[in-house]
Amino acid sequence: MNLITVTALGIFLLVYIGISFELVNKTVIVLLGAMVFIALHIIGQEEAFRRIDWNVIFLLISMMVIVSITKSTGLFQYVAIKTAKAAKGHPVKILIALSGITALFSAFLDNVTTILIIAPVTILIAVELGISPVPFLISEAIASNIGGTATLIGDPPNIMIGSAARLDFMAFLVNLTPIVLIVFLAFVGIVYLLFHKELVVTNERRARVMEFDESKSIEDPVLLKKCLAVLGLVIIGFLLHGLLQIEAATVSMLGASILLLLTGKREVDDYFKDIEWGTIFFFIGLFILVGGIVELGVIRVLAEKLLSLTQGNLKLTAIILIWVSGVISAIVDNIPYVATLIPLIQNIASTVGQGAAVPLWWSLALGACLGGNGTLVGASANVIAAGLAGKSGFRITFLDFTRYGILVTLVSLLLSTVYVLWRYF
Amino acid sequence: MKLASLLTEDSICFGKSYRSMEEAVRELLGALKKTHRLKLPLEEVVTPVMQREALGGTAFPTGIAVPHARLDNFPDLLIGVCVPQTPIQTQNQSVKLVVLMLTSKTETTLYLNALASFLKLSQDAVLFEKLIGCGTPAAFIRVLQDASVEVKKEITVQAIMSASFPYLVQTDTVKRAADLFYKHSTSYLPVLSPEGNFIGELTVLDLFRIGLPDYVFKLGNLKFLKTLEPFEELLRKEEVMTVAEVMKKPSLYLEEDSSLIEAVYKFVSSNRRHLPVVKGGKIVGILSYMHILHKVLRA
Repeated sequence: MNLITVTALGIFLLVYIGISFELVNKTVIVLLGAMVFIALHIIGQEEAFRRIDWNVIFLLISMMVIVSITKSTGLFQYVAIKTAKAAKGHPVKILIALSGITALFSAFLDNVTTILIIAPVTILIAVELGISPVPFLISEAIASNIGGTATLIGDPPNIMIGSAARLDFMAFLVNLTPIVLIVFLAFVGIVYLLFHKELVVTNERRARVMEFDESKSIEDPVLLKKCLAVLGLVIIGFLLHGLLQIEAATVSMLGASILLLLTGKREVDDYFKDIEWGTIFFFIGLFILVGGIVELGVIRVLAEKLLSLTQGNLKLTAIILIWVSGVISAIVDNIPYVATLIPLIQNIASTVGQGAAVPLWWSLALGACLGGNGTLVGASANVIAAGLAGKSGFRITFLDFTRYGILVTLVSLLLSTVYVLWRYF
Repeated sequence: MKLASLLTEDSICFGKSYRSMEEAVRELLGALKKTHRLKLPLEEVVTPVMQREALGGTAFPTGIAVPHARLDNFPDLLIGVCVPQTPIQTQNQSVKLVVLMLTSKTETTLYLNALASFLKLSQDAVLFEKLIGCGTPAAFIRVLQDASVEVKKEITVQAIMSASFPYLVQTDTVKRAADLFYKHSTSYLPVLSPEGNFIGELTVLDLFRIGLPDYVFKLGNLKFLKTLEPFEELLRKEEVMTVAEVMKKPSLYLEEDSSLIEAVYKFVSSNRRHLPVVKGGKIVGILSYMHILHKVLRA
């Protein structure tokens, strides 16, 4: 190992530690690391910029624009209230129904966005029911991580995996959605067993929730119709993008552009303000950093090591991927982890063949996404849910979350292992 | 600048009787026209003065009245003074000294400071009695000169703030705060320590906010809601909850010598209605944006 490789690995490790322990803002440290890589000629600027996966960047930006516009119509709030009322104000049914809605939204929206939309309504419903919102918020954070695993656009690791492995929306739907449904059902079972005795409300409290008039949450019915039309087209576009040979980013950016054209009233810049530029630049920096490590051949060596360790046994590699990814994602941010693992699996795929390596991609996605439920800090959605609860006077401690999260994670990783082995080997 | 320097003997009248404020205004306008050779038709000045009179608020409990007009294309400040033989009875006050001021629509500083000086001297009972009892225009100017009544060159917060104000202490209940807001028709109350130090502030919105927890602000739209449990809770808790639990630390303040423009800037940029005026850790007054409207824009 030469001096450049040692320096690069040192910087990479420092950035990783910085992100994991939130010592500095993660976007800042990743961008700083990436620029140091370029300044030290670990990777050339042109190559560094080429390493940025623009499919991921544009997909994220365009989905943020679509969500920002749709959110302003009140649609998501409407659905959440309608759901609570459909459950007749029965707390456990509401908990399960709202978790279901969260999982469904998360399959198409960013998990954090989903929690930001659902959690405030949930706290309100729980307060009006006269019970603690904590079980609701923990369940929703977990449901958002489960739901996000189901589709190409549900969770950033999936977006990165889909783009790098050229797996389209349909492929995710066919391969991941079935196991996600199974995991969700298991999660519902756990939630029911854990909370059904605890959540009891009076009839008067239940009636308060039934008094909510969800139809009044729709702020702009005209814009809502336009949003629904564009969202429908975007989803059809996602289903067909593999067939049409266009990337998912093109589909969503086309949808976002049409929606921006149709909104008319507000300044376009208002919607661009809702884009999480910090997240976008975090991805840009990360692609450059991982690109630098790949350039140095470190990933190739690691891939060879892993293959020799498993003696080319893909079944064992897949199991290792699910569990190692699950454990690591429960502790650190899964995005840099997946960004690092992608070139590793690409290396393995170049040895064993693209087709043979496909189960490894699903294993990585399942482990990385579902592992986020392991602890309170495992996924941004968990942290956001706890933050919202805390600010409203309901504390969710690390242990509060983790004792439920770890149980759900173990069950979901176990189910994922059985699924991958049964379906692909 | 001395206030006396703005006056001329010819525009000071003594000892005449007036049946109404308008009569006194017409008399003073005549004197000002003659002294300063004004070419403006009398009615063009009387009308805006009387229109402003109709809005009220130009006569003060100290016995002074300050009818005035802001005129187009009038780059000057003219002051006429009359001491009626018997006080003029207005709706609420008995007026012993009438000070008519004509100024431009755009220049406010000198006019407002001259106005502030007259109001201040009217609060000094000894000086005020001496002025209205001096008998001649020359004596009037001499008394002012001897008393060294100054006109400031700039408007400061001190001239327009309210120096007496209700306040709370930390141990007061939220109920008392709500009662005080209601009684004084104000939306701002400072919180003082037992030693009189300015340690916190409370607005009516802070009271409302107790009943609206953080998650409510994230909902964005409350149209679907008819009642809210935490708000009902607030009404139940107001007798046990103390001001210390809900007050905010003082963040933005003015000083006595802060300029008018600094105050206006702070009001506009912070979107607040009131600002405390602080000196050495103690609050000496409260400035509301309505003070600026009343005492500057429509003074």
